[in-house]
Amino acid sequence: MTVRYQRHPNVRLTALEGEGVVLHLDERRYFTVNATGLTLLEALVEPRTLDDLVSALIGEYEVQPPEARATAETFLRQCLDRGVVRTLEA
Amino acid sequence: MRLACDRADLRMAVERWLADSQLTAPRALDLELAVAGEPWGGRDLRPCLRQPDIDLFYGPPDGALRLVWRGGAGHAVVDLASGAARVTLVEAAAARPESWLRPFLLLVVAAQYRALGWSHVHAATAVDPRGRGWLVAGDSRSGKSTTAALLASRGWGVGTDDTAFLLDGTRPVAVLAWREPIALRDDGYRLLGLTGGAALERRGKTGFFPDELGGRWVDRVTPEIVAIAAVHEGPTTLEPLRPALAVADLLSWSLLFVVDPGRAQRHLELVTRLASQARCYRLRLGKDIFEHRDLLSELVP
Repeated sequence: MTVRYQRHPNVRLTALEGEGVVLHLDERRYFTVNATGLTLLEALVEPRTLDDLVSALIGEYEVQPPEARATAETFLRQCLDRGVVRTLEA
Repeated sequence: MRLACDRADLRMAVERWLADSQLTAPRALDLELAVAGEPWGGRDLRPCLRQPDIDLFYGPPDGALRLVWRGGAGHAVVDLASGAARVTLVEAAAARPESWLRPFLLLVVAAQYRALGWSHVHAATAVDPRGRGWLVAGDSRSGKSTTAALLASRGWGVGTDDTAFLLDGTRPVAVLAWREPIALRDDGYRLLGLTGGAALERRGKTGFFPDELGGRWVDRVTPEIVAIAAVHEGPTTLEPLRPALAVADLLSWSLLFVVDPGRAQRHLELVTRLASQARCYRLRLGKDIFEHRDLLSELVP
């Protein structure tokens, strides 16, 4: 089964000088993300697989696939922990 | 504001309070005010944003905002789409307008203004001698009021020490001030070496309008400088702040967007535009600000 991920519908995002500001309405929390996190969260407006996210990073930055995968996995884990991203049924 | 109230004394008190604020909305909003024999005793099971003395219930099914003040002594329902509000007060509270106008009705009115695209933010507004607009945000102990009074005494234009409204739809983002006295605690009053002023008894503070301190009142500011303020023991410093961090701070001082989730993205974008148009700083206020005449404006080139 392919796992897909998507931004939680009650998360709002804005970009500012290469950074992102994330607002989670349910949790009433807001925090900033760096440019990589912004790229991933912008991609996650639609359901994405881990491979999709790795491709998004490779397309945006000069980064090798293993590093891109590690970055995407770490970021996804943090976002899942905070409820910013949710998993979807395949 | 289109005010409906059967009680002439309350109507007059509210009309005078609204007129004193000198905020003119682009269209009239309906505000209905009534007195009840009993406190509101209903239940609202929706999410609740708790503020000092006021609980705000919001969200589906109807999206209306319910504000419950002091356990039901005051109760309001605001239609966030139209901006119309129905407010009920128990008789004992109604008889003392100073007890509920600012502590309760101001938040009701701020919620109503969201229908106009006006977003309340806890911030002071000012214009420095070079004509630059400032917005100084922070909590109730961050030095906003003392700084606003100090700046007024040095000839700056000052709009408000705490109650400002960001205007959605203006580019660059402009900010309106709710006109009321700058409210000083005893320590600020002493540090400024002031005498006189109006006793704001319920708040335990002393109030001055900017013109009473040598400045002038400015209704509208277009911020070129956004400062997130806090008091500290060292010298006054102003350190550049990444705009994204300024946005996160500004969100925390404009929390009313939480109860209006349908407009949350717009609010986020509004605050982002504000942080983009301005230079953003972390302002740490020390006592040296009282000794140095133009310290703040000199700290910003």
